[in-house]
Amino acid sequence: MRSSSVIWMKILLLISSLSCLGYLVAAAYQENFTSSWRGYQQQYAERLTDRANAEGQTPRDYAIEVRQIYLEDWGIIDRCVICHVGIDDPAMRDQPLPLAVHPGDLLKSHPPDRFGCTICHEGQGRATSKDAAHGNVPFWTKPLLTGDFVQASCTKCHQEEEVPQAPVLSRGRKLLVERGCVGCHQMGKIEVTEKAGPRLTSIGSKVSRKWLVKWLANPKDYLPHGKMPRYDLKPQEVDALADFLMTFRHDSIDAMSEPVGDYDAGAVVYREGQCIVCHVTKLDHADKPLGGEIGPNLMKLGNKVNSKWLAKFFKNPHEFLPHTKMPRYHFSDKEIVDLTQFAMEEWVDYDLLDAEEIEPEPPAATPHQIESGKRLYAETGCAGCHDLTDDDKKPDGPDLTYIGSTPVHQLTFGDAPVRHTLPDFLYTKLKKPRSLQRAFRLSSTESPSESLWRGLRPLASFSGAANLPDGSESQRLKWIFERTQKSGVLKADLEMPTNNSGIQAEWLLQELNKSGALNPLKMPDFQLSDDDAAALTIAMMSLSDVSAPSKRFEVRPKPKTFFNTQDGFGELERRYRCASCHKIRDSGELLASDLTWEGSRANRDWLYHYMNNPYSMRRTITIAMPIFHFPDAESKFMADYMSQVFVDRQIGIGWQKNRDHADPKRGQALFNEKGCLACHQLHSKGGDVGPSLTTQVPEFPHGTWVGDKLRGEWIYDWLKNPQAMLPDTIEPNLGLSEQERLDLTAFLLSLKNPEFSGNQTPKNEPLKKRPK
Amino acid sequence: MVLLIATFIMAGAIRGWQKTHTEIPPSEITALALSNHRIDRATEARNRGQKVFQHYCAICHGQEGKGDGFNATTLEATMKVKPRDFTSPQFQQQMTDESLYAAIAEGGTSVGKSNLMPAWHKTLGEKKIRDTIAYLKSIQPVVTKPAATE
Repeated sequence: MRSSSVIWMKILLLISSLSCLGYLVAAAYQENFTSSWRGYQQQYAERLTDRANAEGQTPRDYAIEVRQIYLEDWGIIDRCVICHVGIDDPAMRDQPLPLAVHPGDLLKSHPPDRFGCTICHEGQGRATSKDAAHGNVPFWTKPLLTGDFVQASCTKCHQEEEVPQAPVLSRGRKLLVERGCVGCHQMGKIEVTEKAGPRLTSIGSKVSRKWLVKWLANPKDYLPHGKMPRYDLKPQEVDALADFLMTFRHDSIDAMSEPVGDYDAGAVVYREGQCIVCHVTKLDHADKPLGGEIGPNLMKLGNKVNSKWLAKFFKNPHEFLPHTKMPRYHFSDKEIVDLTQFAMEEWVDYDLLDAEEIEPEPPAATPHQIESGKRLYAETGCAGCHDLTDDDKKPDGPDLTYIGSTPVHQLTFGDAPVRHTLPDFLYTKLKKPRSLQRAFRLSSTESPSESLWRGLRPLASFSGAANLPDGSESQRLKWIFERTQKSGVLKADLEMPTNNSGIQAEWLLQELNKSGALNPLKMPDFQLSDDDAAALTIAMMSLSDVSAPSKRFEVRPKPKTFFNTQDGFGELERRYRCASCHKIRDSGELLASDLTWEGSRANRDWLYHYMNNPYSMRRTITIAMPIFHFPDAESKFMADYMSQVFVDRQIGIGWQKNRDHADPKRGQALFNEKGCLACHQLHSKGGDVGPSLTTQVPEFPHGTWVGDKLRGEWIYDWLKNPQAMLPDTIEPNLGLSEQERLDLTAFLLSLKNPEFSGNQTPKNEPLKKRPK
Repeated sequence: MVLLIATFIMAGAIRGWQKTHTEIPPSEITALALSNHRIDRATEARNRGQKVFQHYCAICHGQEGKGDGFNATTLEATMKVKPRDFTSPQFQQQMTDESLYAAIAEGGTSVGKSNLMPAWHKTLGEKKIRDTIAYLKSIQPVVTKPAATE
């Protein structure tokens, strides 16, 4: 080698060595002396100094050093506070990140020195630079959670149904059961209490085949807000499934005679039953659906069910739907027949009915069709939501018990243009399940026709099919193509190219991939709204393998109290389903009044009277408790029971002691002064927000006044603090003194209806219809 | 060796180019999860105030504060009193923070109006009333277009 090139080599080596060394020194300096966290702590120290100077105090020394939170139980070391220095300093409220204080008041119940940061927010706690700490580095599987995503971490400790301050999570976990996700996927602690859809054991006697075919093709045509998803079944598959399901009949229904009743009498039964409280039964003046959303929309009921089933259902809904909220009314046989007549005539879409009548009758079901339908029922996974036979197998969707801890590299994103994160995967899967499927590829170890046939075999249409015939590759591809057309997988008007088998195979692969037949997905499109899908995503992110290290951290749900349901009252509650509208202790709904202290609130005689003659509390509202026509013994029993059991003896002690000092005339003056008439009606004046004090509603001739209904003890305590008795009430707390409350109570108790004769009021008068 | 260095430089350049040119699609779920969280404190106060208004006030004053709530018809018919319309331009001009606070906290009589407007300070507390006032101020007045001049 020439000496000059050797010298050049040596110089080059020297330069590159020195620059490497210099780079290493610079990096070491940057990491230890000019790291970003030092800058933030410096800023914080300056703020502290400014604040101390502003308040005239001597500034304390603030050391710039590595800070961390060590949680021994969890084995966690969190160094987030190295940059997020002001996280628990309320004075840092208006500072930009990372100095800003933690929003909300969660740190009061979760102080950083006991809970750190990563338990809730994930990320890489031990890192000291921003990207690394937030987990935005390759191979860190738990990136930082912000916004609503943080709620996914609550279930590490919280086991309540409604996790406080985590509304999206709580709603999502409820939806997992309601929408039937738990029916097909294992989800560990989330159990199926009852299946999401109704029992189908007598479906053949309930619906018409024509309705069933339309329903299976697209449920949302009949019930736009229904839960059942659309399964994208081919017409032949729908027919087979319908034929199979229609074989499940109910002998006693089939043996009944056709009920023929009186429409007008049925209309009275309908009004008394107050069906509209739970069901949409008509359109309002603006053509919008009117009625409750607890039960299904009934407006097209006559197109769906047959009248014999409906009559049997009215007699005892609990036989068909054991967990329904619908009560079992005391309908006489005539009333049932009348109500059925009314329902079948009133709740019908006549255009749909006319269209159905000109449809051709379907061919009779062959055993082959029924067998095909049975296979289809099992393969589609209907047993995930519906009970049919005893040997229904639960469909085996992927186990989602630990989906929240699945690392991203184990998820299949296919070719979809989606960010590769867990929430994006879950959200996209929920909104468009098929978009994440990988396109089927031909295997290199077998011929194209063998590959394609292997890919098609899992489909229900081919599960009983023969093997590939012998012959040339082109012949076999043609055979596959014909079968896919016959079963409806590919459209009938498609034509296979007649070139060589290579092009034919490519074409067939492309068409079959487009149709979704290869790598078929059993999960249907639930047509979820964005909000529902977001809630479900966060609920699934909470299904993780991390849990609290000891019982000290677990937050158990408070047991829900009800009342002793083994009593005679319990039997009545199960029949009339009081809890569908009334709250009793922690159970039930607040559609109607809270009955928890009804015995302390209302007079026993009034309760007995109201059971027999329910009425609306407000002038402009016609909805009230249904007229159940209780037998006299039952209404007496319920009135007595509530008066003695649903009682709180602490209520109104002040009233009992001082009622002699109460002056009703002063009370009346107070009533006028405080403006109670804004919300309460008294005789012909006043507003309609709270219950009327002198109920006079034309449809309900037996309304009573407040002095007949309420007890003084309760009124006295209510006026002291309404929100303590009923947290969401909008009655204002007027800060009344004790004497004012005594006087007002005395005045209100003096308002008694002279026509109310206590427990001798007539009962069972038909409900009058409001004149239009 | 020069070739080796050149290869590394090329690889880095291609990687950098890939990073800036691959379309990372926007994440719908992230937008939904953050929609309630990246808002400023004034908007948070207005949102809280709107919730208070919908629960306690809308029954008389209407869902949009127009004074057309469910109870307004009954009040007008039987008590000859109309709940305030917060969208009227005249009211928007004359209302002040203090007068609003007095009316809500101490009732209608404290600002010379009907006693049918109750005093809410014990039920709501100062913070909730301030939030409600923030919401009321954000209700846009009904804009009346000036008559067209030709």
